[in-house]
Order: sequence, then structure tokens, then C-alpha cells
Amino acid sequence: MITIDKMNGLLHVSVLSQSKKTKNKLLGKVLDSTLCSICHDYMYVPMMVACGHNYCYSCLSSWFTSNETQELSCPQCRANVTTAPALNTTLQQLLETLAEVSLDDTKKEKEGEDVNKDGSENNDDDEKSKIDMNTFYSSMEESKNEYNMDKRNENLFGKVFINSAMAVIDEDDDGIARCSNCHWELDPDFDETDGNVCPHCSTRIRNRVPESGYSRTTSDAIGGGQRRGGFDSDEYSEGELEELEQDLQRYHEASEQSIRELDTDNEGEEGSGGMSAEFDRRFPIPRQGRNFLHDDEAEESSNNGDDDDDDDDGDEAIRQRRRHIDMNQEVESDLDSFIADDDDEEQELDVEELDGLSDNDSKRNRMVLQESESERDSDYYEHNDDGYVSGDSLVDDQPDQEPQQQNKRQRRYKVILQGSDEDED
Amino acid sequence: MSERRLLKEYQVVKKELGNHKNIISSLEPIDSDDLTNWTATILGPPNTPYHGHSFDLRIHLTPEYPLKPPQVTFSAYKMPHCNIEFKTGKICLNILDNANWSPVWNLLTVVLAIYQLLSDPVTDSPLNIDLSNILKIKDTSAYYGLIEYYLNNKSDK
Repeated sequence: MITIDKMNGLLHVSVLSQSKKTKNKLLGKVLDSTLCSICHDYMYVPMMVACGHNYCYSCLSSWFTSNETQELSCPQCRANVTTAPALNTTLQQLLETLAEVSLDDTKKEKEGEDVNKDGSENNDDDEKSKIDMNTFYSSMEESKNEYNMDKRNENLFGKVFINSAMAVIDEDDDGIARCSNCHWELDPDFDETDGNVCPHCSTRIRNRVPESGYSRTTSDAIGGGQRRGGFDSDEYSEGELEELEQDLQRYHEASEQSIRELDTDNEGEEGSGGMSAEFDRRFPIPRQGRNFLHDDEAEESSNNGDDDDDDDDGDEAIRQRRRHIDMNQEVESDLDSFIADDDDEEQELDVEELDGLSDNDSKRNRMVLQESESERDSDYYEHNDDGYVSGDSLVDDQPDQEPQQQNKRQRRYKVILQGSDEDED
Repeated sequence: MSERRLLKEYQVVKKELGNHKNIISSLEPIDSDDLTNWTATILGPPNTPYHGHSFDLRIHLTPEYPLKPPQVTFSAYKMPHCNIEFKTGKICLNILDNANWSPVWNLLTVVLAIYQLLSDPVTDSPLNIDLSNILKIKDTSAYYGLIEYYLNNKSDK
């Protein structure tokens, strides 16, 4: 006796020792668990979704195919359904066992009321229960046939899991959600308006396109990778991008060359004011445009060579910067409100793109202003690597600074991203 | 599937309505032979300007129910509420949209959700702009006053 109890387990013992009333109640609960929450009927072919909820095959199938533009979701918990639900044989067996038991009992005993089933299935008289069980079995047969037919014909769930695509993100590549069918870029917000369908191949996307917050973190991680040399890699094809970068490189080299020439020409004669004036004459590029192109290089320039660019020039620069900051903040906020309705990714890129013009400048210079107001000597920028652009200076890159420059660049992107986040709020 | 489910729901509603006496005073098919058109009466939730009033709902179930949401409206010109169009009684509630509907919900949960909407008006998606604006600026007395005005004059329309 003891061994059997042990074999049956604690729960078996405890349940079996309950009163008849409690047992009936329990049985009622067990029977309820075989009901489909969509059709409120028995699940003759229970299919389990990945989140663990069960539905009839036919209900789930019509749910998935009823709303073509929506992503597939579990009706109970709204979890994304990315993989085809599987037949829950345990639940199916439970239902069959319950049906068999009640059938046996009604056959054996004429008053089969005691241990049968709960409320609705409770049989008042023999005749009625037999009819009920007949419809039960015919419905079960029908449902099973439907499932088996679909399975044989590879038509399960109206082929929704074969004909639909997933939004996939390759973090090692560009971190952008793409249609698994045609690799078209998917907009994180498009399901709000157009439904979850790929804009390119019109394939239904069965999972939700990840939020833009995700792409923010990835672009943070890959930093300069996405925005190479100041160009938004999204807007150019690979070939164009390389061409642009080569152009930029050539331009850098040319400007370095001419600065070296200028340095040798003006040696000892004039200060940097003269030099930069000469430089401006040779390269009449608007300040903003140059900052944009030379974003990183220009910052470096403050560290080398420009010893003469101190107080007078510097103060003037700072004053200009102050105006700049005000202006830029305005521009920035305008921009934010303008883009706010647009998708986040684009906004982020725009802000990034602008950093050379506004965000970066203003942030950086706010920092510089704090320090420079207290004390600043001519060697200040040589020893402090804070990336201050003296505005009118452009001096050649030193090759040995390259690794440091890389670090700096990455760090700055982070700062920008944080900054732009705050501004968005 | 639809018909069998409707029959089952009818049974469940009859059985469970007693548990929600303070919220739903009635929920039944208009004609007991036709389970696709229902009528419900909900009571105004306490601590709202609707308290002490009762409101009639019309529920139409399409053949696609429960895969598609039921169509629920208040009686026209009877319901002053942020998210309910006064002229038509149309309700703005996300679970009644195709996109947010789930077939596990039933008539009872839908009516309970609408009752909940009475206590928690959402100013972000108004169908009654005036009430929404008053609520947005938190002018409670105006809000109560306007709603009471409408409710007490409803017999005129």
C-alpha cells in the first residue's frame, strides 16, 4: 500500500482522498482546461503556441489567417508567434481519456451520475448522454481529419508559416530590421499604419518589427561604422560611398599639403591669423561646411601647431561660438519638433549628421568654455585633448595620432548620442 | 464556430451576470432566437459624473465574431464622454479595433471594458473634443457640470 502511494506521488494521494464534491469540482476544472478559449468548445486537436497557450487547430488557423496584415500573436497573451504551433498530444490524450471514461461509465451503469463529468456534460438520462457523446466523437473525428488533411497537404495554418517572413536584424551587419524574404529594410513604425507587411515584397511579417530603441543601441555600438567619414551610409550605395571617401581623402591631403606650404611661407612672419586668413582665401569654404567635412580632423588641429591662436583669437572664437550655440540650439529644437513625427532612426541619423554643425560643436564648446574661462595659456590645447576647434585653424594630421583619434571619435559619438537622446525628450 | 460559441456565451452570460450586478444591470440578446444582436445596460461607476445614471449599449456580432471584434455603441445623444462620439454613440476603445481585438474576449469582458472606460477617460484619443479639452486642463467642476447637464437633458433629444 505504502509503495503504491509513493509511486502515485503526493498529489495523487491528496487528490484521491478528497471528498466527492471536491473531486467533481476538480474534474470540472480539468475539463475546463480542455476547452478552447476561441470557440469555447473542446480542443479535439489542441495546438500549443510557443508561449504555452493551447487552442483548437481550426480556431488558431482561422485566427492567423483572419487578419492578414497583422503580425501573428497569441490571443491570450499577445506574444509573437514566430514558429508554427505544435500538436499538444498530452492534452489531446487527456480529452480522449475523459471521453472514454464517461462513455464506459454510461454503458456500464444506468445511473452514471456519480463520477462522470461536470455541469453541462452531466447526463440526466442515458439516451441524451449517448447522443451527446456521438456528436462529441463525430466532432472530434471531423477536427482530426481536418488537421491530418492539412498536414498531409502541407497546408497547416493556411501556409501562413511558410508564406510569411520574419523581421530579422543582423547586428554584425547594419543592425537594421530586414524582411527575411527579400532583405528589404523594414521600418520599425510601419506596422502602426500599414500593417505588418513588407513594403517591398508584400510578404506578411509574422513578428513585430523591433522598436527603434533597438536600432539606437546598435548604432551606438557600431558608432562611426554607420556614418563613415561624415557621410550617412544609408543614403549612398557602397560604390558611391567609397568614391566620396576617396574624394574626402584627396581633399584632406591637398589641404594638408597647402597648410604645410603656408607654414613654411609664413614662418616667423605672421601669426596664425594671417595664416588662416590666407587659408580661407585659398579654400573659401563656409565654416559649417568645413566643419562638417573635417569634423574629426579639425578638432585634432587644435592640438598641434597653432600656438599663436590664443587669447584674442580665442575670445573672438568663443564669442562666436556663444552665438553659434544659441543658434544651434534653436536649429536643433526646430529640427526635433519637425522630425518628431518621423521615424526615430531617421531622426537620429539627422542629428548625427548635424553634429559637425551644431550638436557636437555646442556641446564641445560648452565644455571648453567652462574650463577656458578660468585659465588658459597658449599651450592649453596642446596638452588638453578636449577636441576644441579653434575655428580658423586647420593643421595636418599626424599619423602617429591615429589610434588615439579613433578612440576619441568613438567616445564623442557616445556623447552625441546621449545628448541627442536628452534633447528628444 | 460562431453559432456554437454564441450559444455557449449565452449560457455563460446568464450564469455569470449575477456576479457583476453592480456594473451590468442587463446583458441579453434583443431577440432570444437571434444571438447576433444584444443589448446591455451598464451603471455609472461611482466617483464619476456618471454615477447614478444608467447607459444602454447596443452590441452587434458579425458572422466573423469572435475572430473580429463586436460592434458596440451607446445610444445616440445619450453619452457625454471623452472617447464616445455624442451624436452617434460610437466608442473609441482599442480592444474594439481589429488590430487589438483578441478572440479570447467575450461579451462580458467587452462590456466590463466599456464600464472601465467610463471611469478612465483617455484624453489622447477623444471623440468628444470639448470634454477632452476640459479634462486636459483639469477643470473638474466644468467637466462634471457639462456631463451632468447633458445627462439631465437627455430626455429632450
